[in-house]
Amino acid sequence: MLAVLKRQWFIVVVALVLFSTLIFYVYEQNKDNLPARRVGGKDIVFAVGDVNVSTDEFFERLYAQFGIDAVYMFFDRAVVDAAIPDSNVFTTKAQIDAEGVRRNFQEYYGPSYESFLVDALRSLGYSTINDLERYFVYVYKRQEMFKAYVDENLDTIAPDFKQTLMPRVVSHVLVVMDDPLNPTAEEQARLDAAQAAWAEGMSFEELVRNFSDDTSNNLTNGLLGYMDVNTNFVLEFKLAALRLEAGEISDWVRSSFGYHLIRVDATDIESLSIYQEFYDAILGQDQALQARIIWNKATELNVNFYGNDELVVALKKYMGIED
Amino acid sequence: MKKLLFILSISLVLSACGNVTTTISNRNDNVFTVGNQSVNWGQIYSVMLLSDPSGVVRTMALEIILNQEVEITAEMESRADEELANFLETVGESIDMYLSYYGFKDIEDFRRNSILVQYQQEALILKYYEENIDDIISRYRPRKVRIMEVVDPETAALALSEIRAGADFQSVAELYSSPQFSGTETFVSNNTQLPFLVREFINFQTVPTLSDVIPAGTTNYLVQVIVADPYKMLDDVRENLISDNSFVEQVIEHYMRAYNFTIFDRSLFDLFIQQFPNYLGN
Repeated sequence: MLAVLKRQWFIVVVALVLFSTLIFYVYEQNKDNLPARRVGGKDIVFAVGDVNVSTDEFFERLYAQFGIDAVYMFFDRAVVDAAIPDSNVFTTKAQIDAEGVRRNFQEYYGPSYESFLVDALRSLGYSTINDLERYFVYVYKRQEMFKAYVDENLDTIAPDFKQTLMPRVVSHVLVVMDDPLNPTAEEQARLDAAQAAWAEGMSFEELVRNFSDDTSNNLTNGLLGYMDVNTNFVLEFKLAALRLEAGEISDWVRSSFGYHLIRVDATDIESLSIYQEFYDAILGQDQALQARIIWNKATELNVNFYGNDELVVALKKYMGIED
Repeated sequence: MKKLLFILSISLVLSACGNVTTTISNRNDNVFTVGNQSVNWGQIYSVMLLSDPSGVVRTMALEIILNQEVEITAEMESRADEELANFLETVGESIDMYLSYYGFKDIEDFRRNSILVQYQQEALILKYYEENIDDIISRYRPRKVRIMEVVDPETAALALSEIRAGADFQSVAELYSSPQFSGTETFVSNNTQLPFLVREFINFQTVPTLSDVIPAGTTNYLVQVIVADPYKMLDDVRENLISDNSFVEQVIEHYMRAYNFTIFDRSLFDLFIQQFPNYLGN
């Protein structure tokens, strides 16, 4: 044996090196691993002394505290997925949004941004960073489902909503001033010129093109879009806009930004429904409406709880659904 | 040689399957099906694990230790009944909301797993204190002191000279000290947040002593150690330590390690260790 080893010494050395490397590799791979434990065919999640706690026991305690939240989260997502098929439109929009969020997190948190993003996704019931896109697809599908419900039920929803929130589409001309109470000579001259042009009959659209300092909308005739009583506009602007009927134009209104000329373009449902904010406002006004839409859709899709009446009662209570 | 190769191959395979994810027995049973979408109990368990259940793990593990270390006495039962009755009177009709929010099945579950557990924990802390009093005193170095903080060093020196001339520490503190340190008699231990040099001064006194001006960054301290021998104030030591959250936490950590508390699920372990890094035996 010794003679063979001496004769094949080089192979022996190579084998020893390989063996040691392998042992080291196996050790490195395993040193942070956790042991597994199963008792009576059940996974043990943790142990204290000689007391083993099975995942089933642990689940029961977890479920008492977090269960209904988890079930609702899956329920909402499953109903949306079952009701609205995937589409390239959702996927493309989701990819853009996911990339934007990733960039924002990276800018804000630096190189370790992924762990913060995963934490944020965890709170939404997802587990990896790759789920970000999936989350946005779900958001768009959910919006689509709610929009369809609102459209189908506008006759019943809209009258009350219009009366309460006074929704409208607005445009404006804005002459900007740093301090509207003490305008500079140049600012005052610009305002005088705009007011004179308006008094002389210049159209609203021309006035926007020639005088408006709001660069975000002076290529779209001053269109600001959807607003209602809850929209976060400066108070003077909001009050003036809410006093107008469709087609009416305000007097010059002073706000902290300068002087506005406000036009209400539309208050009819057809014009309002172009804007996602319109649907958001309807859903935001009645907090229980979203839950009702989910529940009604689930019922329409023949949801099956496999005889678990206790869960049905708990879920309906959680969602605020009354029989 | 063939045997060796076989062993090495098995080792390689095994090295890739060490990190455990636990699951429940009925993981494949459906919770519900809607349209073409089904959700099973395994998914519910997984998502609850992601929502950071460390607090639940801690509670359950602590309950196991409490049940082994502290017997529930008739006195505890009777106190629990009384506390429960008062609690029910206070919350009135909101009791269901309260129970559901904190995850208690019913009133009895709340009585057993909240009120009685609290009594057991208090008893455990007291038991640990009484069994380890010498060790605790040497570790926590409890003292009774008066402290004042004076930003200006010349004013601090003036305050010191007034005290040395016989003025009362607290009266001088009322004149010169920042509001944070009023010069009143205070219990301190190594758990008390104090500047390092102040802590060092207090720790090394064996008899009542007045410090010199102790500089600490941009400010200065004067310390009068009133009781330097903890054995002369055992009631104070017990009362203060057993109600000190840091001490309670350190005692719980001690029992968790003594009971070799071990987690077998990788994701749960990673979440738990972030919140309770000193609990785990593994």
